[in-house]
Amino acid sequence: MKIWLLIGFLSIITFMTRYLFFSRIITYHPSEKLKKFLSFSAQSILTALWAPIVFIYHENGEISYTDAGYLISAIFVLILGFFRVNMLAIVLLGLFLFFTIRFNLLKAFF
Amino acid sequence: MITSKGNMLQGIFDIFPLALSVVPWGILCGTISVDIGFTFWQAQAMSMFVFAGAAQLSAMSLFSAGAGLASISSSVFAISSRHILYSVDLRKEVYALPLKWRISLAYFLTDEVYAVTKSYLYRYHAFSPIYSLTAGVVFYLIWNLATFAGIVLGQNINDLDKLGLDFAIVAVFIAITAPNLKNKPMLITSLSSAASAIYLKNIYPDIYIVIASIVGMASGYIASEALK
Repeated sequence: MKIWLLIGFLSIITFMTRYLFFSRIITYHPSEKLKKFLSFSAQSILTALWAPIVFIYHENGEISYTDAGYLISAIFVLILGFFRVNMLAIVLLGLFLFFTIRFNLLKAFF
Repeated sequence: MITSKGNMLQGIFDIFPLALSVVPWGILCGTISVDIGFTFWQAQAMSMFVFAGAAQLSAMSLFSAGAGLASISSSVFAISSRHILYSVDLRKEVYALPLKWRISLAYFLTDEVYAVTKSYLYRYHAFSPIYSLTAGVVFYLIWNLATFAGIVLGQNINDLDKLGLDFAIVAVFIAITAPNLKNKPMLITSLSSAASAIYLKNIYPDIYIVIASIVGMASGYIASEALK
């Protein structure tokens, strides 16, 4: 597949989803029901994107996690997020904890 | 009355922390595109023109798995479909603006820009095109610089993608979605979407995000109707 063709296609798709209702050509007004349905879209899509990075389903029916660093740091970030800690602080603290566990940085201190 | 210069400065100030949060993720996007065989300009063009972190990553992982144009496009459309909601929601604010303004605002409309725009609307009960556009442009520049850094690093350091930079994605998305979990339908949306995505990822690697998102949205909708 031509990579440039792919990039062109994807650029049109992402732009159109953003521009769709900014355009005056569209006169269609989504119903309240559709708007309500769509109001769950960001929550749903963002969750569908991160959850499989942390958890893995196996064909024998077991669920495992990628590694302890992912699991512990994700729970930590979830708790901070739940209490509405500032986003940059959450990401930095989360990454700090994650890399500390991943590269066993605590060994340097103990 | 807020001056336009004041609005620009505030746009920069408000978007900056959010833009910094996605830097590791931009680096990851750059490195992965080099890894899967994109040239420098192809890798940078992804961030310049597609400009959608989650969609870019998903497109690249599908591309490297040998997926075709149709399945990559449908996955990117599904992931980007949340932007349709943003454009529905902001329609009444931008409708009277000239075409060049509507096009520019749409071009830079990301999750993060939408978030600061909504919070500005909430604070001042008014929409400021210059505020949102400045926030969008700043976010765009930082995203592209991060991608550039990722491309350069990826060309020089092997296995950078095994470092665990993808945890940055996890952190950003949890940080955006976690505050909503206090709301029951949102909680149900998240649980059903997460469960479906985890279960379906190996079974339908091309379209699991599409299915899981719809399952999550439907569950949230049904829950909100039932809890009325």
